[in-house]
Amino acid sequence: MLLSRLLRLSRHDRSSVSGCRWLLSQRHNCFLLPISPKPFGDSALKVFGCRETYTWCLPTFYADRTNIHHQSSSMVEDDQLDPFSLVADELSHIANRLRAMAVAEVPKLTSAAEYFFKMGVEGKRFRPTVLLLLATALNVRLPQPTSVSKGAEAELRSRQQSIAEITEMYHVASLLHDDILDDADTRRGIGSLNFVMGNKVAVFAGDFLLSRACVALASLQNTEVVSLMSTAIKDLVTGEIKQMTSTADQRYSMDYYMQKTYYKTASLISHSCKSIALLADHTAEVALLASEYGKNLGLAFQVIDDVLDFTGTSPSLGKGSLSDIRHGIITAPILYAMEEFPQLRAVLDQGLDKPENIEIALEYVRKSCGIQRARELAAKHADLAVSAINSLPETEDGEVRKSRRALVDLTQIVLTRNK
Amino acid sequence: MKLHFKIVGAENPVLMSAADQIFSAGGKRMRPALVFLVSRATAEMTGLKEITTKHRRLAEIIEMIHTASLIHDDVLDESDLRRVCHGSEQKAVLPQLNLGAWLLCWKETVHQLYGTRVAVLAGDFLFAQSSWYLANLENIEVIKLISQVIKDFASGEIRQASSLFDSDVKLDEYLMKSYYKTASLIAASTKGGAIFSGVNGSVAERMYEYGKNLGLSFQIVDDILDFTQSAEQLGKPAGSDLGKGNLTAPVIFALEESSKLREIIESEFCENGSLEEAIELVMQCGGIERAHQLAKQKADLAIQNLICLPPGACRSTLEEMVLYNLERID
Repeated sequence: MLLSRLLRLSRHDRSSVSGCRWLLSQRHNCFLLPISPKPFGDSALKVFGCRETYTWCLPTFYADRTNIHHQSSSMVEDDQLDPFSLVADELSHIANRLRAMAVAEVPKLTSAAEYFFKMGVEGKRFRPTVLLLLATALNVRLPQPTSVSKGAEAELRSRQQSIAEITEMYHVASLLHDDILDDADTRRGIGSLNFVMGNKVAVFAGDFLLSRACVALASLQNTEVVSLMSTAIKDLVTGEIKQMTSTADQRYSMDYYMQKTYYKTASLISHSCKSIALLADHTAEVALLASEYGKNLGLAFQVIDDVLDFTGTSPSLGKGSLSDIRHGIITAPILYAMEEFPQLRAVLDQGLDKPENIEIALEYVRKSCGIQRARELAAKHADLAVSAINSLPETEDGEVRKSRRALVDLTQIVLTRNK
Repeated sequence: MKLHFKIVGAENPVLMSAADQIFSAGGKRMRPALVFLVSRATAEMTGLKEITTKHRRLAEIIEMIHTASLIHDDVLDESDLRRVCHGSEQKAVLPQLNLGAWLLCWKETVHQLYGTRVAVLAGDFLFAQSSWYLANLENIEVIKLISQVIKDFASGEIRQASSLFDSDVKLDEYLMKSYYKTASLIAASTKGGAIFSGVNGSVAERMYEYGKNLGLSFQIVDDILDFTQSAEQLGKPAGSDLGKGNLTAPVIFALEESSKLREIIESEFCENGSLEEAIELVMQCGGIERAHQLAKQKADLAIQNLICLPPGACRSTLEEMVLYNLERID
C-alpha cells in the first residue's frame, strides 16, 4: 500500500529536483501513517528524515527518471522500508512456534508462555530479524524456477528459521536468568517471570528454553553449526560471570568492557549470523563477513544500550533508568569520562551503593564527552558492520539487494534508537 | 574423573564398599559409574577392547549436568519469603508476624538473593560447558539424548514447583515427574554408553529402559527414606519433601486411605505438629509398604532389560546396582 502511493507520486513529477523534494516530503508524510506498530517506528522517522533520504535518492532520480519501471524498481531499492516489515510474516510464524512449544510441552508454563510471547513483541525480536534478513542477503545464486530447487530452498529456509528460533530461545533464556541475577521486578512493562512465579520456576524456565534450543540445534545435523552455537551459549555465561567477578582494575578497563560486551551480546549474534551462512554452504569468506556483520552490529547495539541507560529518551543525560550504574556496572560513557577526569575513579572506588556517589559520578559524565565518545564508538562498529555487508559478492537480485539495504539500515536504527 | 569402578564378582567386598560409597553419598558418581559399566558390558558385544575417550567424556558431561541441576535446584524461591514479609494475597505461611520475624526475613532475603545469584550462574556455567563438550562429541544422537535430559529436568522441576500441596496428584503424574527429574538422566547415561560402544538400536533401547527403571526405583527409594530415616542420616529434617508440599509415592498411596491426611496437607501444615501427624498417617496407612512394592516392580523391570547383555561380571554388577538400591530400605 505504501509502495503504490509512492509510485503514484513518482509518476506525478519525476524530472525536477523540486519535484524530488516534494516527493521526499510526501514520503516523509507517508511514514507518519504506520501500517502496523513497529517497535522502531519513531527512530525510523529520525533515520529516514528528509536530509538523509535526499542524499540517497537524488542520483537515482537523475539517472532513471525517464524509465518508469526502472524508477519503480529503484524506488523499491531506495525505498526505506522498515527492515522489520520485510520479515514480519516469518517472524510471527517463529513467535507462534515458540509460544506453542512452551505451552504444549510444559502446560504449567502456559502463563509464562504469554511472557515469552510478550518478549517477542515488546522486545524487538531484533536477532531473528537480523538473521532472516541475512539469510536473504546471502542468497547469491541466480533464481531457479524448477520445483526441485524450490523444495531445497524451502528446506534451507526452514533450517535458517530454526537458527533464528534457537537464537531467540538462547536470548530469552539469558534474560530470564539475568532478571533473577538483577532481582528485577519487571521486564519491559510486565512482571518478570521470577517475580510472578518465583526464582525456581524462572531458573528452570530458562534451562528448559536452553535445552529445547539444544535439541533443535542437534536436529540441524550440522556439527559445525552446533559447535558455533554452543560456543555462543558458553560466551553468554562467561560474559555474565566476567561482569560479576571482575576486579576493580578490570572493571575500569576499556578492553575488559569490550571483551565482556562481546561475550554478553555480540557473540550470540555473530555466531548465529555465521551459522546462517554455513547452513547455506557459503564460502569461508562469506561466512566470515556474516560473522563480522553480526559481531559489529552486536557491539554497536550494546554500547548504545549502555548509553541509553544514562540518557533514556532524552538525547543527553536525563531520564535513563541508570540501572547499570546502580548495580555498579561500569560502561563506556563512564570509562570515557574517567579518562578525562581521573578523580572519578576515586568516587567509583567508594562504591555506588550510596546515592550521593551516583550523583557525583553522573556529574562527571555530564561534564565529560563520555556519552558522545560512546556514541562514536558505536558508530565505528556500525560502520564496520556496513562494510561487511558491502563486501559481499555482487548480485543483481532485487530481493537480495533489498535485504542487504535493510541490514545496512538496521545499523543506523541501532545507532539512533532512543529506547 | 578419578573414579575407578572395579568390575569384580557380586560378592566381592571391594565392590560392595564402593557401591556403598556411591549410594550413601546420595547417589553421587552413580551415573558415571553406570556409563562405564554399560560401556564395558556393551563393548564386549561389539568387540571393543577398551572404553573410549568418548565414553569417559560422556561420563564427565553427565556428572556436570547432574551437578548443574542440583545447583539450580538449590535456587530458592524468594516468593516464599516475600509472601511472609509482605503478607500478600497468597497464603501466608506464618499466621502472625512480629517485627523480629520481619527483620529476620529481610536479612534472610538478602542472603538468599546472594546465594541465588551464585546458584543461577554456577549452574548456567556448568550447563554451557557441558553443552560445548557435548557438541564436540559430534554424535547427533547423543547430543539429542542429553539435551533432552536437561529439558526433562527443567520440565520436572517446574511441574513439581507448580503442584505443591496438590492432594489430587495421581501416581502417574508422580512417576512422570520422577522420570523427568531423575530417571531421564540415568537412562541417558546408560543409553549413551551403549551408543558409543556401537551396539545396535535395540540394545541401546534396552539400556535406556534399564536406566529408566533403575532411576525410577532409585527415586522411589529416596522418597521412602525421606520418611523412614532420621534427620541425622538424611542430612536434613525427616519428612522435608512432605513439609514443602512435594507429595511422593508413600503419601500418594496413603492419601487413598486417609481423608484426614488430605485435610492436613491442604492446610499446608499451618498448625503446629501437623507435619508429624501427617508422617504418622502415611506410615499407618501402608504408604511405605506400597511404595516399596512399586520400587521393587521397577527394579524387576530394570533387571529384565539386562538380558540382552552377555552374562559376565559387568552384567552382574549392573544387576547388583538395582538390588543394592533396594537394600537401602531393608
